[in-house]
Amino acid sequence: MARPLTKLKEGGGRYLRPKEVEDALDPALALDRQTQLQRAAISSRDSPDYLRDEVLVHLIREARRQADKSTLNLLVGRLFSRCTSKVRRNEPEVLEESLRALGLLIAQDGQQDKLDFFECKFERAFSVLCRIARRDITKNHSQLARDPEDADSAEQDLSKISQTALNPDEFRKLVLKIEGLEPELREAFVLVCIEQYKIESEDPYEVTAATLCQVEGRTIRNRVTKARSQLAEFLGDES
Amino acid sequence: MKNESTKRELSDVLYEFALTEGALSPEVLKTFVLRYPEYGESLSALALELALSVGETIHLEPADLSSSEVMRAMSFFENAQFEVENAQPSVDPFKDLSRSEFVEVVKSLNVNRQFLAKLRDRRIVPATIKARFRHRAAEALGVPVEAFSAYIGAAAQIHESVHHKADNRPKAPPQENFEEAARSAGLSEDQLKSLLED
Repeated sequence: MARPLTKLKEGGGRYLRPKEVEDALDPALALDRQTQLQRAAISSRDSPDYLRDEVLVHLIREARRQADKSTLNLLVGRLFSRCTSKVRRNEPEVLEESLRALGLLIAQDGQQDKLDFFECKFERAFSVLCRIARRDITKNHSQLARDPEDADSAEQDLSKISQTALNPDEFRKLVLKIEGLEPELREAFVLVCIEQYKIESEDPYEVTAATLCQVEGRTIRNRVTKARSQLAEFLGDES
Repeated sequence: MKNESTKRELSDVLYEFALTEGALSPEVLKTFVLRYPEYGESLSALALELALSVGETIHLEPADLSSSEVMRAMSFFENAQFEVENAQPSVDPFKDLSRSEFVEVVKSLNVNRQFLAKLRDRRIVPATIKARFRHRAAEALGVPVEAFSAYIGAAAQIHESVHHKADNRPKAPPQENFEEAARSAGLSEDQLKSLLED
């Protein structure tokens, strides 16, 4: 029987693992350590021996509780390896920061219980780490030289999008409209206006929308302008 | 409502949102944005990221264990582990406190004895103790904040000053979060207000 989660929901009650995770846990816990490690190395979800990410997190926590360091390090390595395929774009800084944050949660497990979220829905929880990493990275970048006009417009767009969130029908339409943009326009808009990446930078090592899309800054600017005009009903006239 | 939401960390709110059944529904998003207006932009951005990634199939191969990304992350993890393990409390800031000194600390933190005892017995989830309060408590106890954090981060205990009749030493009760601990300690409204707004 897997150890129950302890994280409390805001409205009361504990978080519970979904049934499919619970069902996968007991057989995994019954395996000997060597087999657990062999199966943790399987990355293909199609394999019948594949261990879910949530199960891997549980095994990691158990290894940590038992102070089994070699197993712990091997399992954590496998989990980090899997995570490298979960960041949508080639965002090395986001990946690095998210893995650090995950590593810290594992190292501090017991002092806090946030890994409970990862035992419920790993990918969703990991997407939160990525969101926070993106926010911190773009915040740091924006404190460096950034075209004030670009920054103001992008910040206004995100502010208007969050106002749209108060009207579910409008938000639904906005999502559909963004999904309907040409892929290049959508990518540029999402990077600049939602994820708040700088359009371009004089620093060749800085990750920007231009470096992520591997095009010139002015191309990104044009794409964002086009996307904004198609989304004008949601973003206001000035866009 | 606003006051209540400021006590929660952004990450906790985002985790709760992402794990809520129907997180992709704009109605759920609206509920969260109304409840946590200060996190509206982060919630909206996360909702869009989740919504736009639905149906998007990722076929990336996981990086090898010896890849630079995994190796760097492992190195950071091992260092973090080392720090956590070596942050075991070498100092018990409560150990040499006389009764009157204990009361002085109670007064200077504007709490009551019961609350300070919970802190002493590590009955409060360390992650929920606010940074500002940690600093104030460390100062009142006359220890560096790192030593205080290490102390409260260790396993919950029954303090040696607590007497018991049974042959076996009783187990420490489950930990409460900071706010629960403050409320159940019977602090006055003013004390609660100043503590939770700290």
